[in-house]
Amino acid sequence: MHVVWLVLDAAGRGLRASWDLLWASLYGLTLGFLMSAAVQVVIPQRLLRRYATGGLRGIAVAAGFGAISSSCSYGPAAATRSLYRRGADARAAFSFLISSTNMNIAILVMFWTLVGWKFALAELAGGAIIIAVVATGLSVLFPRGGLERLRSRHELAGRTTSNGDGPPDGGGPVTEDVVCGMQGHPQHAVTVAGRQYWFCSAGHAGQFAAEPAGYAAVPAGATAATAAGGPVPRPGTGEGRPGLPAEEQDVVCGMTGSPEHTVNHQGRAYRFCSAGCAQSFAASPARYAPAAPGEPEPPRPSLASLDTWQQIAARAWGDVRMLRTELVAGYLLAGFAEALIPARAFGQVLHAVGSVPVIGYVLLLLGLAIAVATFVCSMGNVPVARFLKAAGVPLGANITYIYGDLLILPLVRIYRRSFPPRLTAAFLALFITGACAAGAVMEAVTHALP
Amino acid sequence: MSFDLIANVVALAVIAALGVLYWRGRRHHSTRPPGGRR
Repeated sequence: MHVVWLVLDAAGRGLRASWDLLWASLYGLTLGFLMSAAVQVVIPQRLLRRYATGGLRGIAVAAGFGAISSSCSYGPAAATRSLYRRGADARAAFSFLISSTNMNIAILVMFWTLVGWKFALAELAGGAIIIAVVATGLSVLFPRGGLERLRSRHELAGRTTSNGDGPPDGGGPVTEDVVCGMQGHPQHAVTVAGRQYWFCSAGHAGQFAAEPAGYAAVPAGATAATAAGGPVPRPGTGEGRPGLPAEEQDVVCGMTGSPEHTVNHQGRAYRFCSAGCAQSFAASPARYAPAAPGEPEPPRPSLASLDTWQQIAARAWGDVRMLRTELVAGYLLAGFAEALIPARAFGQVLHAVGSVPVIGYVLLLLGLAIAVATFVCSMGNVPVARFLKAAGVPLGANITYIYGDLLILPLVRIYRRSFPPRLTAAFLALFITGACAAGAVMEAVTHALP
Repeated sequence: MSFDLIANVVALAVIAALGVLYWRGRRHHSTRPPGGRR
């Protein structure tokens, strides 16, 4: 009975501490998700593809897009893969990836509110250092067009064998989500060129259906058909639509149009799923009608329109759903650690270990190792960082732990499937070097600050 | 009242508003699932 009471007491204290952490960061979390969703809707990602070149400008633009992208490491990892596949320079693609978890506005706001401004600064400046190390390192390791040659050989290998990204031999479904590398589900199935592809979510199924050749070895121009209950495309954008015949597809929400709701625009009949979509189109046809080559881009969504805010709400909710496991795991881990581990004793051990000079640097690597072992990514790490700070872990090692969320094994698997092996190995080695360097620099810089 | 309390009350109001917007958008777009099947 006594043991049961002890367990219940510990669980109660852990849950209470987790709730306190959540309450302390709720407004930061909300503001972060809202800002991130708003900029994702207002600034279309196709602009990134246009500017993601290998020069300094391309790397900076990619980092800027990373800062405003979704803060879950899995989403940007899938986007990086797609960017690289569509011809973006590897340095710009990795710059986007690193920025999306280390310079992301949602994470920075959360750091500021939960752990303090020094951490937010270390996260931001450290991200820039890692990008500099990775981009410079790749230029040195693969000089004079080496990166492009690597890509050409990889693409050639992808076409001649179905190894890695292509579907396996045989006619069975591809059960692994080719967008993110996770286990797919038949509920989110898309058929391309006679083969079924399963996805972990409707969002990834929609992404794949919009451009199958960007993710799998399928004939260029192959169209996708969705299974019942398949992808739910993002409303109001031209992206993520399943490949239905153009005349049957509602260009506002991407669903099947009905002849009952038809609007004629510039000599063409557009069908819609409902009167609401037809009205949205009639109010602003230039925004939804597919632009012919040479036509100007559709206008950017206005923050004064209710439709834009519905998209923002959908995007924010999508991000929360993508991150829910990480967030719950992060808050519970940090809450239970705070309630049950005596922070002073933990701090004393660390202090004793860290006072040996060489061990201080080992702590940076240890930070990375803990990140890899815990599997918690991006925002879920923030409450854990707060606990580590309270326990006396030096800022350098703590922030290196945060950088390490790009090294968790599911993501490494995605890199292996997305990039040539030599590029993956170089990126991982450069990232670890950059993360340790950034941790050490930020430790010194924040010591010098008031 | 503390800053945290005021900020979190505003945050809860924002979450509720986003929830209503999301629900309205979803209700409107779920009238016809893809493929025309229910």
